[in-house]
Amino acid sequence: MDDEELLPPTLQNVLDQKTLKWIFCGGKGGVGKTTTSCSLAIQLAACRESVLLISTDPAHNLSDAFGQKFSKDATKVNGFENLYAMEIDPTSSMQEMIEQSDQSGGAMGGMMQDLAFAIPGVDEAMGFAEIMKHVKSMTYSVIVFDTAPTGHTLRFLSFPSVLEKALGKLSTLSGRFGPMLQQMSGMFGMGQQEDMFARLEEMRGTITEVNTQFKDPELTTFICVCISEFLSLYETERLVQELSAYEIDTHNIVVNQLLFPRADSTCEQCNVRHGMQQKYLREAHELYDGMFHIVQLPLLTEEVRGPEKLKEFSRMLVVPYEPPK
Amino acid sequence: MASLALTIFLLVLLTQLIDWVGKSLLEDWAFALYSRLLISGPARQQRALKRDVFREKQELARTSAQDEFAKWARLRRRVDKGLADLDKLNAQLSSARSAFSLRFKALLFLLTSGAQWALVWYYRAAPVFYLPPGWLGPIAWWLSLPFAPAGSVSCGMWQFACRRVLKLSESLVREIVCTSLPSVPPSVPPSLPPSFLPAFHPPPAHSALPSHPSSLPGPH
Repeated sequence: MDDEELLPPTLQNVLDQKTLKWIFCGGKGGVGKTTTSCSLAIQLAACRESVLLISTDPAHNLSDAFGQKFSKDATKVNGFENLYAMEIDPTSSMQEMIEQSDQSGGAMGGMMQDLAFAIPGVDEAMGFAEIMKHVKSMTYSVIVFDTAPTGHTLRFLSFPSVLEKALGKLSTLSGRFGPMLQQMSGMFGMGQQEDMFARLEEMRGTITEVNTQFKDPELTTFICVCISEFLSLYETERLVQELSAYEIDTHNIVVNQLLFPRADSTCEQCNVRHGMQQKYLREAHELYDGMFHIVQLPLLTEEVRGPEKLKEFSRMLVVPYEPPK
Repeated sequence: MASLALTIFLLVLLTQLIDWVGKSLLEDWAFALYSRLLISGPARQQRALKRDVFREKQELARTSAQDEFAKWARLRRRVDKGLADLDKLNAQLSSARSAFSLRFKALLFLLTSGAQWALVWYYRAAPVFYLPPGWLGPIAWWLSLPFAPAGSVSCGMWQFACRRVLKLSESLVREIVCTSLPSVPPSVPPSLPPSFLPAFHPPPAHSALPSHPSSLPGPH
């Protein structure tokens, strides 16, 4: 590969692209998504007005990383002026919504709801739409998502078209049977489905709008996080392909947990593993150079926890790490 | 009116020929010809694509994902893209095929049954030929049904007669061919069982014997 072609191995491009509103960090479980997204958020906080970091992973790691308890509401991160974080579980927020409407609706409303929620993946997507509505009402200059492992994210990103179809069917149904249902529910003393359909429609609007934003490379980018191993690289390749199928911009790959043993190191495992990682790193460079910024992050001898360590770690996103000689 | 008789006979013969060959087989041939002549682009593309995808798949299988990940991933991308293209092309071709099949069936119908009906209806009152009076006695009026003049054979009846004759000759030929072909081998087996069976199953000889003659096929 020519050196001129090589894109700089940093995330500086993300920091410089001021139009970005949504930044996703995604990859297989355990590759350091959370560390990466926290570091990125910290770096962004230094050059933007306000940053919100959201974790949609049911296994919440933000609290762990910052050593501070976060909840469903945006909370200011200790030690930062303009960095906020929140942890949401899309599925559970959906559950809440169902319960809430079950209380207000009758048996009929419940049935129609069951029908609507029988659409595969609707719970996740609606939970996400809920979050979006929430987030849109707040004013942050950029929002970083620490997403759940690969499949999850992609499903909801691909969701709007499915939902569009299903909801279109449902609303014609409601147009046809609505009057009858209304009469019946009038008889039984309930009147919820109009309300329900209105809400579904609204949801669809939100999801569609969010999706168009996601497909705009000026507004949204996806950062693939991986480690230098076969399976992780394989998953990353799949992720990249799927993202391009969904027309979501991605041009950054973070390779995490790289080992750099000292030259005089006698640790056999370290040396072997270093060799293997370098092999896959070469392959990744061969495959992605020219289109992707490939950022290399080292595996440290300590856990990256707490604001101070994260701050230090985050510098390596901007200034490439130099292995000790 | 010999030409009318001949025309109807030829039409019936054509229908019968098509029937013998088989409509689906004819359609296959016609479509092969059609796709070669008129939509050769997509068909050739499909063949080339199939070959390419196959070759790339083989290469993918030969490439180790662990040792040459970059090469493997590139191949994989190409294969995936090829398969997607192939799917699209297949859908396009199969829709072309079904459209063709509809038109072809309509054409066949017009050429055979449709033409027959039209002809029979158009010449419904015309005699195909006259029978010598008194030949068939009381059933002569039946041959002129529905509208042909009395004493003549109507188009409908003539068509019916032609078809019957063709079908009968078909079954005749079939019978001759079927009986003449297998008549050679059966001369060998009858000599075998009597010498074989007792040697292999000495104890149940009486139980085997009664069932034995009945199991022998045709030559008797």
